[in-house]
Amino acid sequence: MPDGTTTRPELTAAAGALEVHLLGLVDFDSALSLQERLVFDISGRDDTRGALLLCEHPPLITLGREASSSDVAVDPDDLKALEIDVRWISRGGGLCVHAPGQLAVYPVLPLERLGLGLDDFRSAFEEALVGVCHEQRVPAKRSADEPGLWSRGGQVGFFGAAVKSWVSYHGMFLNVDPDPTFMKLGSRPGRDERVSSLRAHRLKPVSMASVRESVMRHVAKRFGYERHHVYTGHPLLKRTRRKVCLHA
Amino acid sequence: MSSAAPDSSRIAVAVPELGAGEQTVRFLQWLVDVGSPVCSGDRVAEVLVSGIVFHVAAPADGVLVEIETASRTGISPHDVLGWIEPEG
Repeated sequence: MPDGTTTRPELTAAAGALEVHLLGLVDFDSALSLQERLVFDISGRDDTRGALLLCEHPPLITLGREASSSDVAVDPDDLKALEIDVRWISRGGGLCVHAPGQLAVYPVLPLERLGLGLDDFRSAFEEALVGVCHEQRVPAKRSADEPGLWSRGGQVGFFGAAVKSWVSYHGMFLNVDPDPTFMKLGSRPGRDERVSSLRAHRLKPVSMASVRESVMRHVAKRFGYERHHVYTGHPLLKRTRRKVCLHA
Repeated sequence: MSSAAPDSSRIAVAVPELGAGEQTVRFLQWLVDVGSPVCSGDRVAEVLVSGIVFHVAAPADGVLVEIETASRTGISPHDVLGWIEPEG
């Protein structure tokens, strides 16, 4: 079990590689099922092998354990018209609006074998994505007190993770270039909680492919993986098909 | 919250050392009811640390016979959340 008194450890995961799976646009339930399967697999191993899932989700609102139903400021009929479901999820964090253009980053890592406590995990993960934002010339910052990433324009990264059998799942959502219409669904009237994106900060399109490449490199480095292997898709991913209306 | 076993045969479901640093650890909820059978390793409770839900596992096979936490209270490592009566 990790020693809670340790400061940031010098991470080395040389004995295991990070398996990165690029899943593309995938529905939330399929991604969650795959994560749970990977948690089961990795918790039964005795090395430091980990997995990193990168994907985007169709429009959806998820509520973590720190959310309240009153956080959903949009009329249920409006959400129904937009075909956007609201789901309670067993992860930390509050409300998060998902949509294409937002990169979901799910590290499934054996924290105990990496010598990481929960605070170390969040710090290393957020710092990895801060490095990604800096590479995209967006000066994002993290806070020791509040999970997530912020740029001058507002929150660009949402953190909400879970740990089962000392293996992490769920993770972070980085707004790369989502439709601002969906992002506004996460704003609450009367509260100064702006949601932003890398594109909004750069004022020009940001390549999702370059962000994905940067994420896998920074996450591997921060968690001490000297090798990472990249795959497109995953043999155990079971996609469901649903028509999603995206207004031009 | 009590840490003394009310019955020597009972096994404590305790908060593990989470490596939470200065962050507050909060109890969220039980995932099983008192009187329910549990297997070693089953998720029985959830605690929250700074954006991370940690699933607390049952330490042994048996029946959850008592819980000692109220929801949403601050807790520390090694605090006892409840008690399991082992099988047999």
